[in-house]
Formats: sequence, structure tokens, C-alpha cells
Amino acid sequence: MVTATDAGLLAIARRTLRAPISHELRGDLGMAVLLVALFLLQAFTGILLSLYYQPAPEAVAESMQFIMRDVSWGWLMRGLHHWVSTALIVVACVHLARALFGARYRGREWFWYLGALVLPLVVALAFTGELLAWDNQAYWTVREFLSDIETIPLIGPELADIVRGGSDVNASTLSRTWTAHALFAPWLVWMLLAANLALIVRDVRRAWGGGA
Amino acid sequence: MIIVLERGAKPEQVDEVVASLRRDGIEVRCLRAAGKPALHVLAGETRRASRALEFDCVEGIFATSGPRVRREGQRFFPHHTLRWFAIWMVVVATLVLLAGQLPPGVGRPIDLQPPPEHVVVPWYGRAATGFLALFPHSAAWLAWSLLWIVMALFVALPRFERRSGVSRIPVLGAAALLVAAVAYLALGGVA
Repeated sequence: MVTATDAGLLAIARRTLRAPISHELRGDLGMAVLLVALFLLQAFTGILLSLYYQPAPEAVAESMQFIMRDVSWGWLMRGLHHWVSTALIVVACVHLARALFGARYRGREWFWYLGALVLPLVVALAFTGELLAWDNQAYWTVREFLSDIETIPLIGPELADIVRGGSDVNASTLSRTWTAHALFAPWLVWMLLAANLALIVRDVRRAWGGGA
Repeated sequence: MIIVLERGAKPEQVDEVVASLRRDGIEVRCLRAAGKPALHVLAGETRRASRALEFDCVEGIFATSGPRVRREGQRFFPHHTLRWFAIWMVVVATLVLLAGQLPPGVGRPIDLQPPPEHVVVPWYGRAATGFLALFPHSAAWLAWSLLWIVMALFVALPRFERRSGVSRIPVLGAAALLVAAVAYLALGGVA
């Protein structure tokens, strides 16, 4: 069992941070830590917003107004949550572009596959977040999105029904969007980012002869 | 700085390189590294030593000092941590500034009648919706099939490159084309 003792996670972190590090791995490590830091900021603001947000169609607008007007720093938390989601997508794209154009995936394909999984997930997180506003724009965006989903060959109509939670966009759609945004996708992203960071740390240690 | 010469370089070729460097005011010491003749630059304007690459027998020039080389040998903590911390602080400060100056608003309540003429898709979804819009509704299956194929090729790129041994140039060309297409569609190139 891995423990946070001198022989465990703390020792690994200390040896990684104290190892001389090559230019390429330094960029990878920096970008991975930046992604994790942004995600933690996103989780922090998201948890604060979830204390006041009510995922029911008739209560959404009121709870949003309450967050923006009455909750201390609520406007800032919502603004940060919005802009950090954009930053996460941009940083994930840059991370992937570095891997693509710098051939960083050679000899460590996991680096590429993890990035390729993280990007659609952070996009999904941002998109479901936009829909949670449940205003006119969000409502018609989700309808447009579902009509596009329905055109996927073979699985489209069934997939749209699962997302919609019925024959039309309704309270179930909002509830499912909320579940995906607040419970399902964040854990997946978190696991992938942690794996990404752990594997880069492994590479740093290997490069300096610190073992696997 | 180390100037490495080719394994089969003759002594007179080495002397020729040394003489050329000395004419430029660069002092060198002759070495052998991994069976190859090499010249260790001891003094002088090292920038001028790059002229040695004009000789066919010179294999490469490798820096042994300078800011980048010094950084290579530095520990991540504390040397690079400070640099990255500064970058993170700039990122967070920018995000706080954006959140304060351009906060997301609270939209209008849902209005079912009439539906809006144009639905604004978030910027990260515009490339995909723009691509789907290129095809008529009856050919949506084709659009999705193409989309899946491009995505599968993109994800399987390392495996494909390793197996086929294809050169980097076509791969980079295809990647640049993909990025350009995504940017064009995202910026509303196809309404």
C-alpha cells in the first residue's frame, strides 16, 4: 500500500522536485501541474456554486440571480468558474498541440491517449456547464445539440433519448446535465489528470535514474 | 562548447579546423570523445565557433554553458518552481480580471415561441457544428462517419506513425491542415 510517508508519496514528490529536469519534461510537468491547478480551482468554485444552485427548471433563474446579487463574491465565483472552464480547454489544447507538433508521444503513447481523452471531457464539462444556466440560450442550444446527436448513425436517437430523459427537453434533461456536470465528468477528468501527472513524474524519475 | 568531428576525420582536417578557429581568436583543446575527435572551446567568442560547421568533417556543436544549459542542470525545486509559479500567478490573475470585467450574465427566461433564428453555439463547439452544417440533413450519416474517421486517425496517430514508419512531414502537414480547418470552422468560416 502506498502511504504518504518518507518512503511513499512524499518521498516521490521530493525526489521529483529536487531532480534536475530536462527542458522537454519541464514543459510537460509544468503544463500538467497547470492543468491540475486549474481543475482544482474549477472544483473549488464549482463546490461553492453548488451550495446555492438549484437544478430545477423553475428555480434555476432565481438561484442564479441569488448567486450573482446576494451571495458574497458569488459573481466572482461564477465568473471564475466560467473563465477557468475556457482556460482548461485552451491549456488542454496547447498540451495536446505540444505533444503533436513536438512528437512528444514517441516512446510514451499513454501521454497522447490521456491528452486525447482529457480534451473532449473538459469540453463536455464546459458545455454542460453552459446548459445549467437553463435560460433561453441554453434551452435552444440543448435542443440544437440533441437534434445533431439524433443524426448519428445507428445510436443517435437512443443516445439523444438518454441525454434528454424523455421525448422532449424538460426537467429530466436539466437533472441529467447537472449529474453529468457535477458528479460524473469531474471524477473522470480528475482521474485522467492524476494519471497524466503521475506518468510524467515517472518519466522525470527515470530520466534522472530514479527508477520506475 | 564542444565541437565533435566525424569518426574518420584525418589529423590534417582537425588541424585545419583548429587553425580556422584560432584565426577567429578561439582557443581550443583537442580531445577524443567516444572514439571521435573533438575540440573543447576554452576561450574566445564562442558564437564564432559555429563557423566550424562549414567544414564537412564537423559533425556537430554542443553547448556546455550558457543560460539554457545551466537551466538544464537545475533542480525543478526551487529554481524552476519560481518561474512556473510566476506563470500560474499571471494565468490566475488574468482569469480573475476576466471574471471581474466580463462576468457571464443571467440570460432571458425560456421562450418557446418563437424559436430563435440563430442559436449561438459556444466557441469550442463551433468547429463540430460548422462541419455538420456543411452536409445536408439527409447526408448527416456521412458527416458523422467522416468525423469519426478523422478523430480515430488523430487518436491513433502515434501507433500509425510507428507502424508505417511514415515521415514526420506528411503527419505535420495533415495536423496543420486539421488545426487550420478547425480554426476556420470555429471562427465561423462556414455559417
